[in-house]
Amino acid sequence: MACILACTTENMVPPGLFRTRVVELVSGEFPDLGMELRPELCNHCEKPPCVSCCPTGASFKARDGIVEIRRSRCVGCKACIAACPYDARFIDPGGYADKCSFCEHLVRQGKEPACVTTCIGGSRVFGDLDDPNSLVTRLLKESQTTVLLDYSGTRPQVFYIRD
Amino acid sequence: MEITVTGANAMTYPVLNIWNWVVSVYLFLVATAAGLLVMSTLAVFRGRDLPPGHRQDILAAAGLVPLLLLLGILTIWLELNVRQNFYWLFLSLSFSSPMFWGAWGLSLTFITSILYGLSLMTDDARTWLKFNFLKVLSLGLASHTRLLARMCCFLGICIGLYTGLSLSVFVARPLWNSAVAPLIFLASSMTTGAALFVILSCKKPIQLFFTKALIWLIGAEIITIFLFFVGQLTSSPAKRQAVLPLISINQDYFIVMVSFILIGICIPLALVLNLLRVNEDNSEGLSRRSLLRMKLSAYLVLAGGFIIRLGWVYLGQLAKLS
Repeated sequence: MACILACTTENMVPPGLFRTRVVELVSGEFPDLGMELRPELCNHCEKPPCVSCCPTGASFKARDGIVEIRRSRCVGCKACIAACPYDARFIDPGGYADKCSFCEHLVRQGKEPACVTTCIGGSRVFGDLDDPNSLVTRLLKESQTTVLLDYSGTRPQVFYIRD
Repeated sequence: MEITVTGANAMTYPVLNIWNWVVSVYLFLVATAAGLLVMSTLAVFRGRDLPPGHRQDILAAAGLVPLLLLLGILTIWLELNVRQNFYWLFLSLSFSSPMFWGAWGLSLTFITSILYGLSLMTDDARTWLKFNFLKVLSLGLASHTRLLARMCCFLGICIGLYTGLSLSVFVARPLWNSAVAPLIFLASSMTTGAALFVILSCKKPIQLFFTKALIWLIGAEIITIFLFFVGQLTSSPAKRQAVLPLISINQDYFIVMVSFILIGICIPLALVLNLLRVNEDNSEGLSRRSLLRMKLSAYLVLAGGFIIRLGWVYLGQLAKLS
């Protein structure tokens, strides 16, 4: 759960609110138990429903694909929270909508998001999907991957590698 | 399967918890205004030579529309977390957002309904206007009543549809995400508008006319609600998995929902169904018991209209895709 702490620290997320979470799934019956630890965050979808339902244009998709929020336009109507099938958004104490931003302030400096940097198991990999030589692109080609709620039509850009 | 979540936000886990009765009040006020507006325009279209007493009732109803809309707009403005940025609702061209259309639609309907109300004023009613420019405007608009009535009828229908559309666009919330939802809420808004006319008017012909309209509108509402359930049962497996637990006969909510439908729809319909046979020319002969049933039916429809919206907002937040 170091990723949650790193994210909270890097982005000064208020106490009690989270931009990323870890879901622990335990299935099966003893002694045949299986466990999956799955980090979840904003999927920065290709077709983000949060952007299309935003009445003020506060939520938008930047050129590099990151879905961002313009606080100066946000009215705190919470339509984006209802629209997100991944429950990635929340309202901060100031009343503005907030969510994972892929640490865009770090990414635009050529660094990686805080959760990726801190992950000791190396389970989080970040990169440019448009770069054919990036680690992310190569991993997607070599591995079987799934996405969350693929039937929702959002085309999420967070992929889970299934070994 | 055992699921543990570390880092869940209370407003989205385990269920969505962002909107409450305030949004239901907003939807009810706007829907009632839309229904009242459309019903008043129908009364104008129906009688070219309206008796003065009838015109007074239509004017009173039309006068209530801007007030209801204003209350609704104020309610939703108070619900916003960052109220000072509200002007962006009009400046951004977010055509894909129903709330953007709602902001413009409500504002346009508000202004048009005021102009429509001014156009309906008789010379006696104009003496109540404090400002001279309003009297001049009212005189000038008097010859354009039917045009304004057509505009208001169109806008009222759009606003009635909007109250259902605003939540039905959320694919992530499967209970709300139904193509029939705008039609359900349009029918519901028309019924509340007709019910309010029955309550406000003292004239038996008007009460009888709108009671008959109410019967047909309740019938339309029942059909749309039936289609809603058919839509949910024939939807995708993921959507059925999310919604069916809420409308299962074993679920507490289902019994509550059925009670709402009985109180707000079936009982009011049963009370006044026999009045379909009564001709409006014979309306003066209506018994006190019939009048009481008409009024009771109207009050139940109003209560049902609010309760349906209350249930819709709360229940819709319980269903989620998984």
